Amino acid sequence: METTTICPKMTVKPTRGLVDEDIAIVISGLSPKQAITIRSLLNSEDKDFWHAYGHYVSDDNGVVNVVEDECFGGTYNGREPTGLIWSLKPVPGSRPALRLRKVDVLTPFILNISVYKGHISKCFEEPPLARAIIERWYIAPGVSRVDVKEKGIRGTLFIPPGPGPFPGILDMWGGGGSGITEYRSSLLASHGYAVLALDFLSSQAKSMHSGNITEKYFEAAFEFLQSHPRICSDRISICGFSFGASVAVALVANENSINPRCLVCVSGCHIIQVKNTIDDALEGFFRHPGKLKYDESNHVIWHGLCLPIPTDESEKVKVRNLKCPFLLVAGSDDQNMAAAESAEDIENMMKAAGNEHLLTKLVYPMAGHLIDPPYSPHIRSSNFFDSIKKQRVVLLYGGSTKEHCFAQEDSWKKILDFLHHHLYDAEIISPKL
Amino acid sequence: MSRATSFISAAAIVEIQLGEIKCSYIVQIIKGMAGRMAYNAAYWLQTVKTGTLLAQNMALHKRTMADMVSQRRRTPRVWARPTRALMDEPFQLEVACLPPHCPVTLRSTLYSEGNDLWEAFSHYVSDERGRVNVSKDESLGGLYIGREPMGLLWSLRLAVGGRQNIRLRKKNIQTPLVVDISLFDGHNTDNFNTQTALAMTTMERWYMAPGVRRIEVRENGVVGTLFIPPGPGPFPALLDVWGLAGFIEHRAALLASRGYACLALAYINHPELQLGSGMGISYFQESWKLLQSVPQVSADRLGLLGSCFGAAIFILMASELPDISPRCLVAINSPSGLLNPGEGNYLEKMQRLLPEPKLDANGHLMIKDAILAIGIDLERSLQASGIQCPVLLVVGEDDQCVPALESAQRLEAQMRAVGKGHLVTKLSYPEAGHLIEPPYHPVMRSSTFIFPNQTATMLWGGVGKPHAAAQEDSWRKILEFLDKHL
Repeated sequence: METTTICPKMTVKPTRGLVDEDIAIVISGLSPKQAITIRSLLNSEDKDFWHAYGHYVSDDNGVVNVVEDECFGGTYNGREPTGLIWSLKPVPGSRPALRLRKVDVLTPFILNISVYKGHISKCFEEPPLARAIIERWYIAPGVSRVDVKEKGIRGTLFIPPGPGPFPGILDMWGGGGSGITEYRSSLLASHGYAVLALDFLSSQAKSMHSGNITEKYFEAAFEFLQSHPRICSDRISICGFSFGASVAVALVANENSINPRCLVCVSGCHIIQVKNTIDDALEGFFRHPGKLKYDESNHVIWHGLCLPIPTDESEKVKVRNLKCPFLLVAGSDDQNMAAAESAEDIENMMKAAGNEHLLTKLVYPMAGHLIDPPYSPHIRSSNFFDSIKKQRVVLLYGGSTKEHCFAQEDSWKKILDFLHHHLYDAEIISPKL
Repeated sequence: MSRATSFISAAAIVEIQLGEIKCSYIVQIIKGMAGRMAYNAAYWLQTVKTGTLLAQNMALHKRTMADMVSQRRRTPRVWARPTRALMDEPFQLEVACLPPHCPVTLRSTLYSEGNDLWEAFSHYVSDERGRVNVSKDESLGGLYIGREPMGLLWSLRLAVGGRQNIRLRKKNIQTPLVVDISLFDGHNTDNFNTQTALAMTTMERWYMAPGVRRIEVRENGVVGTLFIPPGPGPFPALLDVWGLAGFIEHRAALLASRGYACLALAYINHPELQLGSGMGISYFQESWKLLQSVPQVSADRLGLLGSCFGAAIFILMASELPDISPRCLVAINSPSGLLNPGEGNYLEKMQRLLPEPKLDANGHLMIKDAILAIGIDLERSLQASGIQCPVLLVVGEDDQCVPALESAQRLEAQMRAVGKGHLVTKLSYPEAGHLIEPPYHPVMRSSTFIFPNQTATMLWGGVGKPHAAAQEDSWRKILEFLDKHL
């Protein structure tokens, strides 16, 4: 009896996962030893198309299992279960220097995964052999998102479901982007923390605090978390990224009312002082414009702005005063900030001061600046609006894709373990005030 | 915009109820949601409802809770993976940061579309590290005992104090069921609303995978819903029918999420069915032709999957009609062996044939015996020997609605008599009842059933754990069977 063919069958698990969850793709119903290309396609919120693809060969049963099989080429190769996500890059012909950043965390990224005949790298013509659609979420069900514009601060609060009280996190992102970067905060909230994504750079934030962001602003933010009815006041951490990390370590080392249970800094440095306003701190960061470098594509390298690391301790954050566990993450190929050098110096300073037992330093070889939660694509450089010079530049962040994505995956696991250990697991003797 | 208004009024209600408690954040959430299209209104109202209960608890026990946490010195956490899953996917549930050897209760809650509260609960004790892992640990009490990774779903039952005896049926299968799982101190069995949960997590359970298309079919008199997987196809396809309960879509949606184009067919109790078109054989022939003609369907890779009386009709079709040639057939708890649907309006015929069903001691309708009584007349019984394709019979031996076991045995005997016994595979589950649903569906032994001229409580049969296991096992085997033959 002659039978018509049916399309190959593709199963992807999970169909609706969080962005930091693995995926497992299995395709069956192919011919034995058939060459295929699997391509993932994403339409970003900015309406750009990002894609990744891998070349596979089915086994004798006509099955390809992306978790186990080798990829022979494409935007990634080797055995890479999540390669179709982390190797995403803008499709040819896209605007240059794009960054994939989710602004609305309440909706998912929709990823279109298609199977094509043969090993191809372009002209992905419709229709494919098979297709699956999956959702990638930055927020778990039940997590609430609340705009915060009170007590002199501005930000977005994410609260997990349940009565709580929950351990809290003050999440401080870096510069760039419009509005508050929320995606890491919502993801952390999906892991059980009440997270405040703090806005401390925009003009709206400044207007909440009589025109200038000073140390008092951050004290107010910390106090907001402490006094929140659904947050454990004695289980609060500060997580910072890039400029936010640099400010965070400075705040915690200072004498003030900010006493987190632990501190996480990713891709930051320790030469920013928060004595006056944040604007002053930013300007201080750029006080040696001669140290700006440019690569062959004229992308701006800020890496040298912090170098050389001063030997005079008064010009650096007094890490000797840190009293809480400190997780420090940096990429050795960071072209935007001297994060790796800064990490080394922090370690030396803490060794000399005798508090290095608090420090866990993770410096990833060939990772760049933008160490995002997995499985975000690696962004080596992107557009940036320099608010001081008031011009558009392309910043070089650095990193080699595979190593950078490994750093994202590994550091995130370690950040989550670190937070869980110090905020959930830790036995705290003193009762809540 | 009316959605936005209902959100804001819901928010206002919440504020009033909570009184002095500053739950303005809940209001803000709802207002923020008003403009979005991704979520259904009901989902957020459910969240609000749960939030209301919990916020009330919080207000009552705010200080005690905080004290308890600091005395306990760690704050417990419960989490489920995956958080968003298809209905037939298992989940892992873990608890951490409890004191060691601490008795706790895990409680699942769900609000149906009819706003009924469903709940289940079970009792565990944390290990020496203060952890509970529902996939590995034994439940010591509650609605199920022993190692039951999915017990908190299949043992869900209507909460005491609300309506009873209603099946959990989701009409809108494009939105998820939202299940909250809460952790309580101690081994409790009731009054959860007056206690503060230690922790909570939320899961979404979906009938439809992303990309599955849902198309309402109203063509050539055929009424149904077609579900097509994403992609160009061509896909193997299935006709899916249920029994006399009416039109049910969720299994077809799940099958499409597993790669089959599936037409859920209405043939009874549907407002758009043209009465008089008869739920006769010609109607089903028309629907078969329609499914074959769908462009994304591979026309000679069609199968039939039915439950109850729908399955009986499919068996007849496969046996008697030469133009209906399924590659395989799945019949779940069919009364086929003993009742021939024949031509004309099946339901009318059946009502004429059935003697007045009696009520048992509990007031449950005893349909099964009535049907068994007909079967003695062999002329009326279905001849299945014309079937040419592999047949999978799924039988709940404790089926109190139809004589499923006897029917299946009869059908098997008929096939064997003509040398086709090798085509039949029978899955027989002791203590499973009539309502063999896709896995992890709550198990219901009886529920209210609305007949044209009366409402009665139907006894479906089936006992908790064995029935749940039958649902899980049969679904897996059905999918394997379909994979092999379609």
